[in-house]
Amino acid sequence: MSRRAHRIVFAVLAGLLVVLHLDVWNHDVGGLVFGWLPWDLAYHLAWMAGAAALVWYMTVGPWTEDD
Amino acid sequence: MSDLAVIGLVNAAYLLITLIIGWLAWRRTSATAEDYFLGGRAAKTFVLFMALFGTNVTPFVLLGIPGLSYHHGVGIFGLNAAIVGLGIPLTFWLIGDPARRAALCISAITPTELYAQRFASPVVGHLLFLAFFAYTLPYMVTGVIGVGLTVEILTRGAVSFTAAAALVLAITIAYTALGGMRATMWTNVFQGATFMVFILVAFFMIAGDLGGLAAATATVAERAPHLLIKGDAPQFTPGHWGSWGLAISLTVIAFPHMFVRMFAARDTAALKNVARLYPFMLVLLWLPAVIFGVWGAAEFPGLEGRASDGIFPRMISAHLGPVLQGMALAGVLAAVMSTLDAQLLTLSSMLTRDILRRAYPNLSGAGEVMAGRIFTLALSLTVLAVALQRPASIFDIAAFAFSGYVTLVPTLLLGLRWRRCTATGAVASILAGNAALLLAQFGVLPRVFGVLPVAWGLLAAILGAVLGSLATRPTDPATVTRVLGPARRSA
Repeated sequence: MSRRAHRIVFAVLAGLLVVLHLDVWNHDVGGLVFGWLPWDLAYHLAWMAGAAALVWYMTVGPWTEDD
Repeated sequence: MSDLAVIGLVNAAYLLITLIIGWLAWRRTSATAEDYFLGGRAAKTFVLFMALFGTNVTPFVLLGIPGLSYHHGVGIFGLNAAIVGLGIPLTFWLIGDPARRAALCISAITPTELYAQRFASPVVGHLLFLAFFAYTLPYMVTGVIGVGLTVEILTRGAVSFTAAAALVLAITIAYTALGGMRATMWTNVFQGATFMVFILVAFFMIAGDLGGLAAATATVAERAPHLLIKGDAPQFTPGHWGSWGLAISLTVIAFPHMFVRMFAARDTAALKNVARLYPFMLVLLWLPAVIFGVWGAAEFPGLEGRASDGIFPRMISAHLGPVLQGMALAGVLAAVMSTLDAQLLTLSSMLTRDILRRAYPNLSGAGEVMAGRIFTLALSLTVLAVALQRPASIFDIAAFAFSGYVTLVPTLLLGLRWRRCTATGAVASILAGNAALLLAQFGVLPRVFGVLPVAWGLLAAILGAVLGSLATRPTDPATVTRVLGPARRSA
């Protein structure tokens, strides 16, 4: 894949993550995950797992040594 | 042995180790400005990561975030931590790596030196210096306040706020002034390890003392259930949420003490590795910080305003023995000192390289280093004087500084990524961004859709950079090529 293609893929995925970060649908959602972790924290931890994967892709795809 | 003596011994050991590391670094540091201010540009992944992360973590995280989640609950994690897991690594790529290469190309040691040469304009360098200075000073104050507060609470007032603040500044000056960048990076490894290990140990031990993770959450659900959801607090409305997320993601690269550490990286591979590690380490640090505040609200209700900044040491004091209380204090000291040293070194390097050297072109390398040491001392005294006034909560002071730094990002980014960006554009960006930020802070500019003043500052800075650049003649291509290398087409 060309550098340009990598950058487009990265931009689309980053945009998607930003939308998921603005989680207005979560404001009043209660409940616990694993019996202790509030839902809102669990959601944003999962979001960070996605962000970590995207950062990994950023370093192997669009970010080149001679960038 | 009394609890106080144990806490004192643990911290004496921590401070002694820090000083020994600083002394070892001093023995390895030559009298050249490049070695003193940048450690020879040789930092590999591990040291670079610890230096960046240690510098990035301040009492804003260890005290300000628990204080904020005490009032606003678990939503503080998403508001602050999550988005920076993506935002900070992104700025390392877009700004940090090209800045490193450009600085290497022209042997620049400070950010202001780099941009003054990129735009062939000392005015840009001076403006950046003023802005960096104006926003770094209050940010340094938050660190010193954090130390004073923690010491006061954990020693039950036996050591005063003033004495603690003065002591931490004195020790930081000692190893920073002697060993320069190499000392700050080596000590950052030890300091980063200290606060990371402590916060994880404290998290599980306090949870155990509260009856386990489930029991601790159940207590919060019973006494302060609103803290387990975001709800409709103003912080979580889309305008505030989005604009703060933008601010906290962009601000870190514009900290001059972070920016200059990019120059110290050995190569792009080291920076990429740091970017990969960042999201994981943010989770390990921020998750306990937010949860401490929420647990603390259930256990110590009724703290008003900035009083909640002390909730983390209160929890430590209530649930951990004297050795771990001592480690808690060492952890806070480590977080503060690992940032303060970098801030002192960076501001002093900018003053000596960009201001003094222009006034005295024949200043020797050794003279530069000596001037840097004197400035470090003067700056520390100023920080101490302001910190003793306790002008606002840690979070509020940091939020002011973060917003200011964000107005510099368009200049930092476009100066490296847009060859058409000119000195006029950079000057217009810095001036317009800061003017708009101030107008919005004072309510002259409206808060459209609830966005924070920083959004106005960023918008004005972008417009200033673009319009100012397009309205003026391009910078001499030879100058741009000398700094950024030859232009290339995207593959």
